[in-house]
Amino acid sequence: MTRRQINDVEMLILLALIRLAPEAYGVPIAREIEARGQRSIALGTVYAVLERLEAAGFVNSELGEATPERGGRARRYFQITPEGLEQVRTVHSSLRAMSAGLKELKGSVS
Amino acid sequence: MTRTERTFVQVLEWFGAANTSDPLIGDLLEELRSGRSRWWLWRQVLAAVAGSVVREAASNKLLSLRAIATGMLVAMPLSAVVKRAADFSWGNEPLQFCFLNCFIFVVAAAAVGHKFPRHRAATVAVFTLYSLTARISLIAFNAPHFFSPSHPPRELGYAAVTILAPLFTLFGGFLLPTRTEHLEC
Repeated sequence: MTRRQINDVEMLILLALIRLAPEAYGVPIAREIEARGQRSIALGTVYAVLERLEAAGFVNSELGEATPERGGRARRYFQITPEGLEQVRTVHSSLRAMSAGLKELKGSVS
Repeated sequence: MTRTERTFVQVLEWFGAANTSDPLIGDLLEELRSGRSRWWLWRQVLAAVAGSVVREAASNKLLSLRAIATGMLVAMPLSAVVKRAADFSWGNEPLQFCFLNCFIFVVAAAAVGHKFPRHRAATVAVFTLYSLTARISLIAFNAPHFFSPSHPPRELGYAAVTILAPLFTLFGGFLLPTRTEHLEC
């Protein structure tokens, strides 16, 4: 069985979950990616990716309390699982190894 | 709730996947009420709808193909008959044909949705896919006429009808009752 590999958007979202824990839900995740990752991401995409990651076992979620400013709808908080964290570590270490010493990347965002 | 809020909630409930639409709607309401613009809101809604349609179609490939084929089988012969009747009665005037054309695609979409729904989101996804496919084929079929020098305003009318018809088709889809039985395919 081949192990599922995560793509770049999934990686960004998993990193955002680590940064925002335990208050990670759609809006702050999208804002974090926009602010730090300098990439615009739609909220619908965030939830679609989180659903996929949850199905793969890389994140889990729980419902918060419903509030009036959300029209009585609850927030869904997401946390990274140990399997998800392992994936992030693996991808991060591959990226670092592959990019080490490349003069073409000097001056870019590290 | 304001009218904008009610409208976008309804759109997302129609199109959205069951698991994701509720927290997404909550997030969008929260953002809208904290000062985000309507432009931002509708961009988010469109992106969510597009994603939902693609996901539903991708996870129901055979269902989608069968629905498109059925829609085409209903729409094309009916469209040919009505176009001949329209040419005969009105000399190919665009306004009347616009209504008839939209009616045909609403009927075809209804046929698709009535035959193949699994749940509401999949139905709407299939409508959209069918509608786009039907329209793209029609645009390709009619493309030489759009640039005809003989009657440019009339041909521009047809071009407008062709572009706007998917909206009518989707509206036709919205009118369908929901069927909840599971379809194995």
